[in-house]
Amino acid sequence: MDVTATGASVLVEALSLHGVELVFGIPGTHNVSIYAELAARGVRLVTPRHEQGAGYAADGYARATGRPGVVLTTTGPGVINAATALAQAYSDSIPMLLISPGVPTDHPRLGRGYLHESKDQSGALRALCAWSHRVSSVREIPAAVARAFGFFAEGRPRPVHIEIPHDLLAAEGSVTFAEPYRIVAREPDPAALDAAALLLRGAARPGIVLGGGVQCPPGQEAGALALRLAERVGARIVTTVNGKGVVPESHPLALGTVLHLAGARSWLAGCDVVLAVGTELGPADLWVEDFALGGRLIRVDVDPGQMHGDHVADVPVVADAGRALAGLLDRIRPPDAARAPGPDLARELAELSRRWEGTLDALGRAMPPDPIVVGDNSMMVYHGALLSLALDPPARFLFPAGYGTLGYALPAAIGAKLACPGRPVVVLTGDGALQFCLQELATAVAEQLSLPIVVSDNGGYGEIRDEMLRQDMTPVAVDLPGPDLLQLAAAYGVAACRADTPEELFKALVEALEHPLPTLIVVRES
Amino acid sequence: MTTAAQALALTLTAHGVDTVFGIPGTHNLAIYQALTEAGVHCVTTRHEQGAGYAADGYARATGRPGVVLTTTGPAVLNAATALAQAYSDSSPILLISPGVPLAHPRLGRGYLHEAKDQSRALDSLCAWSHRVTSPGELPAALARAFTAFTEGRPRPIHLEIPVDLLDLPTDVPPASPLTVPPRAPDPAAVTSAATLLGTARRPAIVLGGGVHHSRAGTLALTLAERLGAPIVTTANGKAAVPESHPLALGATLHLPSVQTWLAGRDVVLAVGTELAPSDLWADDFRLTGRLIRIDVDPAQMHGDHPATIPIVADATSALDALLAQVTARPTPPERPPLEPDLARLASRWAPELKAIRDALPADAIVAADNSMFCYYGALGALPIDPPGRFLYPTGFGTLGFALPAAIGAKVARPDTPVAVLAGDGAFQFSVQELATAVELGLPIPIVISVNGGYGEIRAEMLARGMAPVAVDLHTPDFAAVADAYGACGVAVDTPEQLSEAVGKALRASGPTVIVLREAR
Repeated sequence: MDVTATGASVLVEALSLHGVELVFGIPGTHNVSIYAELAARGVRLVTPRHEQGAGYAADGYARATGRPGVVLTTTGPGVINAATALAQAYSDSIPMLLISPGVPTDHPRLGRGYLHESKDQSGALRALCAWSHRVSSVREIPAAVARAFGFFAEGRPRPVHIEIPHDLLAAEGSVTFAEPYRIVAREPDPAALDAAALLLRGAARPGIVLGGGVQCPPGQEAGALALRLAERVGARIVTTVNGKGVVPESHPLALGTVLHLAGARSWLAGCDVVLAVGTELGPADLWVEDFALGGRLIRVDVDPGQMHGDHVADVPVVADAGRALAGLLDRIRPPDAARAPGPDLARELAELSRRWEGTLDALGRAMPPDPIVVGDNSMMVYHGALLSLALDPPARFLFPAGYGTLGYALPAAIGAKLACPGRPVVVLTGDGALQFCLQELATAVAEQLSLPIVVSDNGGYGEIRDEMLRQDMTPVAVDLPGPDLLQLAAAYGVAACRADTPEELFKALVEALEHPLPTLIVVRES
Repeated sequence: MTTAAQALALTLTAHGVDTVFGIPGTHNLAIYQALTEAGVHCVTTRHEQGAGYAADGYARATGRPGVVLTTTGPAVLNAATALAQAYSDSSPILLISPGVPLAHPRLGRGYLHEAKDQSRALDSLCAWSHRVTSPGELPAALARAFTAFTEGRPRPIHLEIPVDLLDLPTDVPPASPLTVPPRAPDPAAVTSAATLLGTARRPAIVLGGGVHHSRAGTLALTLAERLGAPIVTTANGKAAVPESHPLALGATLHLPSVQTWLAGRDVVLAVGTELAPSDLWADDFRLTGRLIRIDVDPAQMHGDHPATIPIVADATSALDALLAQVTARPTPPERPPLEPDLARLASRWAPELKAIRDALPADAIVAADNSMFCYYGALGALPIDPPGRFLYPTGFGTLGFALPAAIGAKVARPDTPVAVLAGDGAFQFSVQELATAVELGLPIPIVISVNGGYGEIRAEMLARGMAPVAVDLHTPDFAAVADAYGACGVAVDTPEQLSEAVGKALRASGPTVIVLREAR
């Protein structure tokens, strides 16, 4: 049945039909009418202090729930401010919808100096998102929204931008709302599964690699299926950063998030059969560009694009991870095989994370069950926590892999905590990364989130300083006099303390987890 | 033989680049090394957006291109808003970044910092974005960029260098700068314009940002005096002529009274301006008289306000030629009654603006954010005389511009007093750059007018009859934030305290945050 309503009202109705309850964004002159409709419908509106924070928060929300994160900005700078977060979501396959107004329907493409006008807003977003669509009538709005949510469900989820010429928001149109549809996960090709099962059953040294594709959507328990399969064929499991915690890292077959360790890579290269599920096996996962496998490779991925490229699948299985793993378990019956040998990573592990040993040990001890740990692109996180902070499902580790942005952790944690208020959420970051988004301390306070924020302070951009020293260059532009983080936290109304010893850190984190508001804990790196 | 990174650094210094704004990252270390060897000052901001705005402030304060250096990926996009702002305000900015390696598959492979299409995203926001494919192409690409800044309308440019090229040797020498003379006007068009102006009974002059770029303010004022024509400027044209001059109406093009007056002029001379909706704050403004347009950008001759007499030329060359043909005519200037409009917008901040005016030297650079205090207040009601400047993000209308832009301006012109005016909403977009200002020891007074969130949007919500949502923000204690950064922080309650604080801040050894509490 047709309904006549304004573009803003139609948009919000379409979002509600798709279950959107929370929107991250900043109001502006062009999007006020959308805010009015959202508020009238009781959608929760979370206002960060920069649209970049809105984007990362939506990412954290999406990773924590498996549901699309929705960002609402105004035209122009609001959109481009969120662009880095969209590109990060693109590389980590996160479902995110950015809704923004755009210049009016009859705006000349040559430009006329209109407020918030840019050369080509849609063109810029199209180059960063899965797609960016500018609707041309009110009637098209429900279709565009439905298309976005359908896209998130049908294959590899990636960010999408819908632009609505802002004159359409007040314009009335006659529309029909389509019922939201359910898209059933893609089933694997039975012949491909037969071939994969045959290979796995005959493998002498099998190995399994699990990526972010195994994480989502949560509740499908693809991770549990992967673990059962590993037990059945006796294969060790290594995960990428995005796959961290998808199987219990305490399990004897789990090697942890160690794909970037030389020892793990040479072990994997020596496996006669490798099953890779929901991972790009990208250079950003491996930390090397020229890794090559020695054995046969079975790849399971919803994205056909992953069957080729750096690591060509011998047995390509284009399917949902859960369905494919269930199909493999049907074909590989008990009893469980003997455990194939794994790598010895102890020395490499110790060497890499020694610098943060006490810190990480204290964090591990203080961490409550099933936390959501949100890490920034900081040394303490990727050299330390990634390896040494073992997590078992349903614990999660949210980290900006691939694209590798800075300033992700605090806003993403805000999104995760809003999505899962009952779960402990902990931020791990460095002083360099924190400064990219520190204005979001105000958002964490405004939303009254219990949120420990552990900052490892090395006085600037430590990774880059190390790289400069390794290249025999005098460090430049990396030693940054930072703010007094304790005073800064206090200025934002955030509780703060220093933790000079692991014991102090342990105690501080335990207390922060009980505190109803954010707590900043500063750990001084030696 | 040099490496590509060295050829880059040497070409930059040959083009007069002595300062670069950016953040080092894994992919751009070779460039940092080469720049350091070449003696270039590398200013490190705390977010690449700050680097972009700082380069913009540097460019506006000097007329020279601002150079930004980022690493691949997030860093490039972090700077993107600043580039789009520079695009709309015609600011010459060069963003140099590495990109994925030469042999990188366009389908993607999950490489560190890989995006779907970095160059295309930037090409959609800049004048152009170019990815070089060999070390030898680098000097040529740089020379092309610097020439683009001088040959016409300056707009931001992005140069992407595949990361694997940076350490490769090249025997292509660094490029030397070309001199591109400013474009001279068509003599016939100048004669027509001079004739028209000579017969005008109610002439008016509109000056935009192009007049600053061409340093044509003095010529414009001479012409105005000869014609008895009042001068109104856009936000970007503010302070192109002394705003204390009797013929100067100030940056008041957005006032309805000024628009009514301008619509009734029989001849309007518009120089270096788009006459855009974002200059006019109105979508449907129409002139009724004849319009002479002078602009380096041919595109400005058409659009909303087609030129009766189009002059595609550098502003200085065109005004010079006009002055040679226009004789003095004692037309009594007829000013619009703009005071009530101005008071309606700015009276809320009148005592504060006067206090700031009193404390700042006449030639100060004021960097203003997209805040109510600035566009309702300072734009029309804080008069500035050349060589003072008003750096403001018009057109694209971003937030968080003022502090980093002021840092760039102060680095460029250390002897000129530079002040920041911002609202609390805008200031929070770039608050981390306080660290940069402290590190550089820049004595910048940063006046923050605190209305507790997004005041403009709150007012718009109330005007629609809706209860304000998402606009009343928990704000930090800004004076304490300043302390935490090692800056000075002070809250003031009276205009006298404000004036004193600004004066003191100009003599300090680092930045001072001056918190001004607004009554709702």
